[in-house]
This record gives sequence, structure tokens and C-alpha cells, in this order.
Amino acid sequence: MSAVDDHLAAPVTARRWLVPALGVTLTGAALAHFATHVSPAPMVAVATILPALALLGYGLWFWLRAPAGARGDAVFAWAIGGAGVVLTLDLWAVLVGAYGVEATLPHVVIQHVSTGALGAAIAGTYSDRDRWRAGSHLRLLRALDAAMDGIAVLDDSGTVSYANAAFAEGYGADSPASIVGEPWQVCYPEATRERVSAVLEEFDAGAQEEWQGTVTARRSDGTTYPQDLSMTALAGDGYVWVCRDVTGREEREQRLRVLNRVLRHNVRNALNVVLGRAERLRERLGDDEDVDSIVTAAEDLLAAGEKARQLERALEAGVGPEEPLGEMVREEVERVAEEFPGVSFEITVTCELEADSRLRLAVRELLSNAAEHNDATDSMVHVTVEPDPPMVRVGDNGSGIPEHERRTLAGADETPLRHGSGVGLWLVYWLVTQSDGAVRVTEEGTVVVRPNAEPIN
Amino acid sequence: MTHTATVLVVEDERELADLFADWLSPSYDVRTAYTASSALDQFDEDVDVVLLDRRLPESSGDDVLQTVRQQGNDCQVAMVTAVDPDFDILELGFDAYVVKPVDREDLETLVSQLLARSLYSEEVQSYFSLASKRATLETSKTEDELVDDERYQSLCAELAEKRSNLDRMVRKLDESDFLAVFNDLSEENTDTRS
Repeated sequence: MSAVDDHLAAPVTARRWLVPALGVTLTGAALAHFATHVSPAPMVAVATILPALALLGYGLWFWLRAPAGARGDAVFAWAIGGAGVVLTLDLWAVLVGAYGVEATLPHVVIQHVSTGALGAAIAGTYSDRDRWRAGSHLRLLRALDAAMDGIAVLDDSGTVSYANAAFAEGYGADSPASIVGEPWQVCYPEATRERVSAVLEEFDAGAQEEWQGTVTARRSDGTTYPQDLSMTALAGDGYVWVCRDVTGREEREQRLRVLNRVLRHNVRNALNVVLGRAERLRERLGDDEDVDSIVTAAEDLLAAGEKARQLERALEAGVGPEEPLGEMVREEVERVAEEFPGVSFEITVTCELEADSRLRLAVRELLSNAAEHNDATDSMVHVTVEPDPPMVRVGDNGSGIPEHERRTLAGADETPLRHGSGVGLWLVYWLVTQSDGAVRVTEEGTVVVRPNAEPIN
Repeated sequence: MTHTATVLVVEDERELADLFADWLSPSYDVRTAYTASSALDQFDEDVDVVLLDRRLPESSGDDVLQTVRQQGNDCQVAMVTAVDPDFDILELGFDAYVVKPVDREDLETLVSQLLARSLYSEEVQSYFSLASKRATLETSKTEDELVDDERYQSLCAELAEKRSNLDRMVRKLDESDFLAVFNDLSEENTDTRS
């Protein structure tokens, strides 16, 4: 960021008119002087009026253009000071008779005072600007020092030339002074060094200018921790690093992963016993309502677990390849129609678009949801894929998605008492939003997915 | 032939182990082990099929599998587990990978298929083992993950090669050979179930 773009400490623009006002006064004084003196020599008149006009011009320029960082009253004070110094010198010259007896003192004084004020105003403008730039530079440095993220500037040989307090703390140093001057490698273990070196090489080759990732960092006492690191190349002049300790986040993720895995494992084992025993009961008792309901409950639980796993995988995999949206929806309709033979499906596709393949899972969920929870006697699900704007609508002739479940699709905060009854709609919400789309439910209960879709090239 | 096949069920969840044993005992000699060490104690050359849980107390099912294979026994081993398969399964020498829950029908089909396979030549068996790995990975991994994984790619290449070798072998058999082999197989298969 250049100092001109820096509006962190833009000065007050009040009283910018003071300098032009001074110019007007001095020009007025000069004109008044010649108006009361009969026929002055033209050269003398011009030499006296010009400096005052120049000061007026500069003052107007200053007023209208407002040079960044220079305050009107400060520049005015400089101009008055300059005029004062010159006036003092003039008076001293008169006192010692330096101008000789023939000199017309008033226009000499006016001429010199105007020139002095003009010079001082220009000097004042630059001085005030420099002072302001130095101030905002200092503020930026303080901001960097106070930032919670570690920030370091490296020269092109990879030596730390600036580090803020957070960067030093991340390394386990008491103050930035103990890390400045060290090579960056001291902050990272061997494996990370190789990875980062490869990136720096690409920077130097001009292949890329920015990099972000999670790496393992090392403190001076040898302990390591996960760190989010972003590096930016400064056009042939070193690099800027911004980093953050993400131990908490990584631990939460690990906890989630472990809980997920253990829960899924135990649920599968336990439900295998439940389902197996239920099967034996059914052999003994024949058709039995209690057994049926045990089996249904167990199977629902299994399906929820499986859905959670699919979702986890889809989200972990990141952005999927682009796929033709119409075909994707058609295939899913066929698939779900096979699963629900009692429900009829109607699909209208009027576009040629492609979208993130992860939407497939969301579409499947919406279709099965519409088919499964349809309370109409002659169940029917209708799906349309429209181009402008890109839209997938899934509706049915039942009562649609109940009010309390719609909150999920709006991404509302869940609480123990207010959350959707399954993972299905969360799956839809996460997949759609992760692929830069949006989802909403209409008054009639039709779900409208607005995918981030592009025309097929 | 009146030989009854022997199945070793290795499962730390006692309820489940007993259930599996119960389902299989009408057709097979079933041995049940709740721990890895008990599994190895009960394992001998009479065992035709091992149903192996991957997560066991003390040492894992993967270790049991390795020991079984080191003993040079060519019995059929199916991992029957609640653990989602990852690329690490490519290192394991199993013949089938089944994710729980399994019902009675699944289990019976699994065992009879494995027994049928044990009659095939080594060539065919290793083809089945690789094919089962590929199928397992394909159901648990996304296309992107598969495309990016070198181990998966070399597995596919190996499978394709084995497949063409087998095709060549089958073409060499004339029709009567083929029928003879087929009859032989189906007879043995019914025998083991009787």
C-alpha cells in the first residue's frame, strides 16, 4: 500500500482557504499600493504584483487539490512565518539603509513578503506531508506489532528483516529482536522446510505470488504445532509471511474425526446385533409389528450414519468436477424412482448448464425426501431445471417440507430443542452452500436450489 | 466327499460373534474367537474360511491376517468389519472386505462364495482378491481420490493384466474341459454345504 492510498490518518481538511486568503490579501495590498501611486515603472509593478498573484494561485491550488497529508492551517502558519522572517530582514535592511535613498520601500517590502510567504507555503506543504507520512507509517508498524497473527517480512535471501510480537511469540522468543536476522528455517522442522522451500522457488521463478496452507511450525524449544501460513512474494524484493497457531482448530477437528469414527463403528456393530436378533425373532414369531418397528428404527439409524459419512467425504474432498446439471438431475430422478416405485416423478429440463458434481448428493437427498415424506394418496414429485437464473426446483403434491425442518435449509442455528430431525436437510444445506449456491423453500414447500452453474462450453 | 468346511469367526463383540456362529453352524464347523490370540490358537490347516474383524483388543485383525498369511495357509479370509476401508487395505492379504452390518443371507453368501473360490487355481484366486479390493475402494472413495492415488492405479493395471492372462487360459480350454471343470466345481460346492 502506498502512502497516498493510506487513509488511516487522513488529516482534517478544515481551513484550507487560509493560504489563498493570504494570497488575496497580499495581491490586494500590492494593487492598492500601485493604485495610489502615479505611473510606476511597468517592470517594477509586475515584479511586485507577480509574487502575490503566484501565492494566490498556489493557495487556490492547495484549496482545490487538497494534497494528501498537508493541513491548511499548518501551511498557513508556515507562510505567515516565512513572510514574517522576510519582513524582519527588510526592516533591518531599511534600518541600515541597504536599499539606498531612491528605493521605493513599500513595493520592495510587499514584493519580498509575498515571495517569502509563497516559498514558505510550498515548503510547509511538503514538511506537513512528510510529518503525516511518518506518522501513518508509525501507526502501520504499531498495527503490525499489535496484530494477533504472526507477521514477518523476509528479504530475498530468506532472512527475517521484520517480525511482529506475535511472530516472535509463535517461535517462543521473548521479543522480535531475537528472531530478526535469523533465516526463516529456524522456525520450521525439516519436513516443512522442504515444502516451503519448494513454494519459495516457485515464487522466485514467477510461477505464483501467493500461497496458503497448514504447516507444522517449530518453537525454539523444539516443540511443534500446526500453523496456518500464508506467504506473498514482494515483486523480487523478499516475502511477507502471515501465520497463526491453529492447535485449537486441529484438535477440534481431530476430536470430531475420532468421535465420528468411533460412533459409526460402534453403531454398526451394535445395529448388526440388533438387526440379527430381530431377524431371529421374526423367524420364531413370524410377522410381528414389534419386530418390524425395531428393524425400521435400526435401519433408519444406519441410513443416517451412512448419510453423515457420505457428507463428510463430499465436503472433505473439496470442490468437485463440473458436471452437466440436467443429466445429473435426470440420473438422480431415475435412481430415486427405482427406490420408490409407488411415487411418480416428472422432470423438465430447459437448460444446458454444468455445476459442481457434489450437488448430486443434495439433489438425491431432496428427491428421496420428497418421495418418502409425501402424504398424498397419488404421490408425485416434480423437478425442473431452469437456466435463468440457474435453478433446480423440487416440489411434490404432498404438504412439502414442514415448517420446523425449513429452518435447517436456511442454515438457522440449531439448538437441542430446535433442530431438524435428520442429517438429510443439513446435508443439502452444506453441500449447496459449499459449492457457492443457495437454497430456500417457497410458501408451498417447494425447495429451490440456486446452484453456481455455468453454461456448458 | 463328506467333508464339512470349517469357519473361524474372529470378532470381539461377543453378541455378534455368537450370532454369526449361530447362523453358520447349521452348514459348517464354526470356531469362535473373541481375541486375536485366541484366533491364532484356534487357527490350523483345517480352517477353510476366516471371518476377521479389523478392530480387536490387544492386536488388530490386520496383524492376525498377516500372521495367518505368513503361516502359508491358503485359506480364504474375509474382513468383516465396521471400519471404513481406506487405501491401506491394499497392503492387506484378504480375499473379501465386508462392512457391517451383515445379515444372515449376506454371511451365508459370503462364506459359500469364498469356499467356491478356494477350489480355483491360485491364479484365479489372486484375481478375485484384487478385484475385491478394487470394488471395496470404489464403493468407499470418490472418483477424484481414486484418480489421484498411485496405488489404486497400479492395482487396476495389475488386475487388467491378470484378467487378460485368465482370458487366454479360458480360450485354451475346449468345451469339454470347461464342462468338466464346471461340474467338478458345482459338485464340490454342494458337498461342502451338505
